[in-house]
Amino acid sequence: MDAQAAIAIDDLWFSYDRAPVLEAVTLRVDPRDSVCVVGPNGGGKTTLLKLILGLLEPDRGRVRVLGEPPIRARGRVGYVPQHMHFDPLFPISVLDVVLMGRIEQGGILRERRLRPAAMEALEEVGMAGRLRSVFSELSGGERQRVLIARALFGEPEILLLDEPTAMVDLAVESRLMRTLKGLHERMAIVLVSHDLGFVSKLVNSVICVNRRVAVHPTSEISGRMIEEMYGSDVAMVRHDHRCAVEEHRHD
Amino acid sequence: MSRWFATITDVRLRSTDMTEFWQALGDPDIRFLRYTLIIGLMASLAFGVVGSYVVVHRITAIAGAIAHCVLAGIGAALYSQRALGWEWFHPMFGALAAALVAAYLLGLVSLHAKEREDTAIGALWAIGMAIGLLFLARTPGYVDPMSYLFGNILIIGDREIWIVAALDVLVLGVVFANYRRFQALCFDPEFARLRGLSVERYYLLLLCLVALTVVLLVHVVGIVLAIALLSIPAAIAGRLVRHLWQMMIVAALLCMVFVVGGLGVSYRWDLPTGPTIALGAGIVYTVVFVIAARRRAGRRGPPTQDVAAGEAGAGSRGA
Repeated sequence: MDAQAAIAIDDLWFSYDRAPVLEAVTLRVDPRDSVCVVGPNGGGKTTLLKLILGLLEPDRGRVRVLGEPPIRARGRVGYVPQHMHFDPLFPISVLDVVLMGRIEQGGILRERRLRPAAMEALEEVGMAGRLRSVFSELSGGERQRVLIARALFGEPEILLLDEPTAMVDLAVESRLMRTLKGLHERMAIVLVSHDLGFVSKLVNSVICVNRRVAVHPTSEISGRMIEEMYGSDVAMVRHDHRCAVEEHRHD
Repeated sequence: MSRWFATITDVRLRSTDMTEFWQALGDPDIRFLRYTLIIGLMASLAFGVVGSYVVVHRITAIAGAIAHCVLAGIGAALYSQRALGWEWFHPMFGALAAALVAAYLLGLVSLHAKEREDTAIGALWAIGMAIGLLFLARTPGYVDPMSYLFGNILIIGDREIWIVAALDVLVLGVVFANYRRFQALCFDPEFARLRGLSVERYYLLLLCLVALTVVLLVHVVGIVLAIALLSIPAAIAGRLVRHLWQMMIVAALLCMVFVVGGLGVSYRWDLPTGPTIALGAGIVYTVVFVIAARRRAGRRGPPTQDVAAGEAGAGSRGA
């Protein structure tokens, strides 16, 4: 079974110090699945992502990515970090950022052969026209798309995106969603987000992380569930720290 | 200020204009001046290239600590030469060994002691200097620590030129072979790690390059002032360019200008060379940043506290 799952987590526990950050987490993401990870700040979303990437080791339990331990599967996973984490003064072009996606095949001399594939990745996100631009001069949404291209350039089987819609406006959001929609035929997509409101159109299931984890198919996302998760106003898709386990009885 | 050049050499140095500086460069009797220029120009390449990584990766504080630890090696080498009779132990080899050890220790500290990194850097910085000064104090005969702290071009000979040339080639070769990897390490280390790059190994290698580079100019500007030429040309270049490799080229050229200009001025007005070069670079740096800040303020209307705070924040985040 595990060999077929893109991500399989079994009874995972994790803590940084004493207090557990994640408790008894069990979940499964199928290949070609699109899931969204939501939850309050400090609820463990980023920790979960780092465990899947093998940047952290669980205290207990097991993580398998594409049937392998996370560290061995890294080459088949495309990671898209938050775009505001970068030094705004760093002089680097869009093409150079994308080429990082295969840094392990490195060497300046071998680079020419990699360029067409890098261009293809940029075309896929609609940024081929900007390959010579400086990364830090791009808008937030453009930077996000370049980071997606960098991940795609590595030909991943799973795409992990950390808050891709943070700090970008609504038009950019929908542009991003169209890009992702085109990809989910080819790979599993795991999206960490504050905003469930608009991603629910894209994803098949929602993983709620707040120390414990609850998984809901999108079809189950009813008005009532969103109300419970986000407070009363569904139009205001801000997370309000109510994503507790007790409030996850939707059956 | 004492007669910096004239007291130690018997050459007539009371030049009246800069053209005499250029003539002096060709004078076979004042070889050290020509040697200094050659070393300065060669070292500028490594300073521009490695300095660019130092600036974009924000490890100026670590680079400063490495530079200061070099004194421990110089002290140990001079002591071994004079007290133990180890003639082969040239101060530059001592400097090299100390710089590499310091780079390795500081690298481990910054990789594994994230929270107290700045404290550990400060401690190693002082420990390195203390060891060096104690060695020098116990070294028979008089050794002027100032020569090594702030540079003394009069002790430059053939041997120094060859050592500098070899180190320069080594540094540039390593960077050329690993340009992308270092760029990835500086830009997004987490992603680089996920793509299979051994981030720790390349970080330590980068710090070793910093160590080698600092040693290149130990006689020209000294270990204390070397950090100025490592950071200032790259910092100015970073404002002018769009790509890292351009930053390296511009920084190397600026470094050459600072070295040649500083050497000329120090010769013309009989001033110590290291401080003159460092101060010249510092003045240009200040002017460039004042102009840049004013331009930005002009674009946004009257300067606000926000702009000032942002500038200070960007500049002071050492590591």
